Amino acid sequence: MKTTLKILLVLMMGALPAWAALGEYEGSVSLDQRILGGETREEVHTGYKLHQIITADGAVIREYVSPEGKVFAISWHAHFLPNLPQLLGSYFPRVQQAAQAKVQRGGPLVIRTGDFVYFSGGRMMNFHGSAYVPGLLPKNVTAEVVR
Amino acid sequence: MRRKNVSAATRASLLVVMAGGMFLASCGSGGTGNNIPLPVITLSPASASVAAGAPLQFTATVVSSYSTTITWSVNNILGGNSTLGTVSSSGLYTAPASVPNPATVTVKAVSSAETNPSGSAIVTITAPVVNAVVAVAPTDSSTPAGTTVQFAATVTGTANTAVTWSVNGVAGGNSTVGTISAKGLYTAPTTAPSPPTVAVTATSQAETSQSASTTLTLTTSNTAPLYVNFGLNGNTGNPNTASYNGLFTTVTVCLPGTADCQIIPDILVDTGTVGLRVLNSVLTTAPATELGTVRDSAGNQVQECTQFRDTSYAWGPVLVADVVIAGEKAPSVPIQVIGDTTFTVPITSCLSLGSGPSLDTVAALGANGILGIGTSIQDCGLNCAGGQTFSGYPYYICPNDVCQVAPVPLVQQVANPVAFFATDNNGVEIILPSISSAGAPSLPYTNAAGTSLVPAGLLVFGIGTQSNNALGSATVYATDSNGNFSNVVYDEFSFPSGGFVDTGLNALYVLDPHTLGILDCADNPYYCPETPLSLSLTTYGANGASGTVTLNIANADTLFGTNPGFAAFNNLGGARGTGLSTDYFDLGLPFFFGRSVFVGIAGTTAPKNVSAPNGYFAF
Repeated sequence: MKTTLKILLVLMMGALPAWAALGEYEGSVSLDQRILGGETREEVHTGYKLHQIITADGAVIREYVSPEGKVFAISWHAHFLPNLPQLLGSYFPRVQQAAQAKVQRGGPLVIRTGDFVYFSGGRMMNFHGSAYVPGLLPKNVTAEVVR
Repeated sequence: MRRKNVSAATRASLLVVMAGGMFLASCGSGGTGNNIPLPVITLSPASASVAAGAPLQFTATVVSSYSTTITWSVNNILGGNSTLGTVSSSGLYTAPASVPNPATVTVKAVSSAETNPSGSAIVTITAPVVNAVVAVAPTDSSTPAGTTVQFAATVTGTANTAVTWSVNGVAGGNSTVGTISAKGLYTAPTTAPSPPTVAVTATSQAETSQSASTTLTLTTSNTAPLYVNFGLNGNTGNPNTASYNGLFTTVTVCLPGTADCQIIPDILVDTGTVGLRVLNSVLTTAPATELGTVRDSAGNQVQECTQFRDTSYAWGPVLVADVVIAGEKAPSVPIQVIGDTTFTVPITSCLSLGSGPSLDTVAALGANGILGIGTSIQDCGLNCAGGQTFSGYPYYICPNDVCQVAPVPLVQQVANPVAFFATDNNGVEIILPSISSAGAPSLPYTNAAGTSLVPAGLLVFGIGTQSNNALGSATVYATDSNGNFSNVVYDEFSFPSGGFVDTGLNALYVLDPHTLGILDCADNPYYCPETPLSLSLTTYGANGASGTVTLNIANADTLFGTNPGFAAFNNLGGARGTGLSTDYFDLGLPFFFGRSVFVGIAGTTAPKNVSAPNGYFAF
């Protein structure tokens, strides 16, 4: 727990390096785990690997890794929105742009483009969302595996 | 020769003459063989225009040495008819109520003399010219049962500004829907009718086709009106930006322990969040600077960064106010004041994690505030009361103008005002009327004539505490630790912790196009199935209760295209994701139309001996 606090403090200080998960190599998963400070579990599925991080406040964050070692999808179920810059990496500005442009209230945030798909929904204390990169989907794996 | 002017004034005597059988024919045989000329009849006016529904008097001038009688016809139909207009035996033509096709008719006066000589006139019927314009105030208001409301009608375009008042189409109203005096003073019945909304209509006495109507929703001590509309940004005309299915009510905020209060309309009603949040910019008579403060032991004022599902956020202090809704009062309850700029938004946490826009203006929020009446008492709870702080944690203190996350005790957290009412404090009931599958312009809605009425909904406080909030046969679904149904089964697939109901969500966000085998709309975030879709779900509570829920999803492009001005839809759906297999059924406002839905607060005693430590839904 102390580790978590320290790392969070680092985040608060604005010292967040450009670490990211989605679209990057598997090494970043362990980085995420350190930053998010959770317990981890790894599952091997046909055609991909699933890393699951359960943080101290109960957030479940899943990262899907292709045989090539790249994170092709992420998802979250959490009381609070997760650290999206960390999880989305170079895709985060896309989310920022779409969120800033969205003037309709009451619905989730949905991004549907050929190279990036994103959903952020749920409600207070019960957020859920997911993102994936269609071009990084492993062979014979569909986006339906992302939960 | 005699000239005989047959006019309205003289006709009666002529008819009497005829009726008496004193028909004066020719002196001779009456045949055509004699030399007496036949009557010549001319009509005045020979041609004329008349507005639909209006009268026009004709005068027949008979030049004849006969004494003759005249019969009148329209297009050779004796006396005319309702399509062509009617003509009386005195020559008074009354144009039909609507313009016939063709718009010209022939009015003819026929002599009874031999060979039936006649005269005729051409009449062109025109659309009626409307001058009177009626307006009624106040519009779409509410009042407690048994009270009075003074309505005013403004009539322009005509000298006679008098109006006739009616309630639900009944002149002067009645004891069930309320009465209204000739001067517009409405007296509500002592018991609110069901549905609770009436239409009040003022009709111009000068032009009775012209009227204006508005709605009035009758409340009781534990009910507040629920309105559905586009919110304060109105209808943008663009399905991508218009906020459909916004649910609103009016909340009164008072300086704690005083009568210094401000009535604030257009507050979003949201069972998906907890606590009242009001824009700083709308607090004028109950200004944020005079509300109670919430501080930590070192005197630092508590701030909050509230996150929303679309990653937008609200930043501002936690302050203490008396919150009054209907006849219920929550004294000294912590609320959030959004857009107070005493402290700058902490960029490295609240802003960058949220990534979306700050909802700190009316334009950004589309409302004056948010009333969160979900299943818990505080907006964060024990997660935020301990010594730990997490990513996304909402509470902050700002010593030396540097804001940092901080734990906040339960009693200082922004709280559900309902839980702090003296009575009726165990939850709420949301009642929305059924609407057409084509949607409705708004709730409430009435047309100008007051003949088409969509009632408002009701926010009822308390569950099983009054005669108007009995649970009845509703199924109680204890929510799981996520505040969700413990399971949702669709098409034989189970989705654990798989969904919730939420008035703050504008559509039914379910599954994805791949799973459903239907299409997303090309240009907006909703579903566009070729034919309306009906989904059957089985919902389970953590208490083991189950029930069937049917969801209808129509083609959103068709809905918006058919009625571009409509804000309320009971069949608007959207994808929970695209291409992603989804494990949620997020049931927004469309679910609530035509239902009574109870939202029970955690920690209260659930009805029917149900164990519901996390609160419950019932419907």
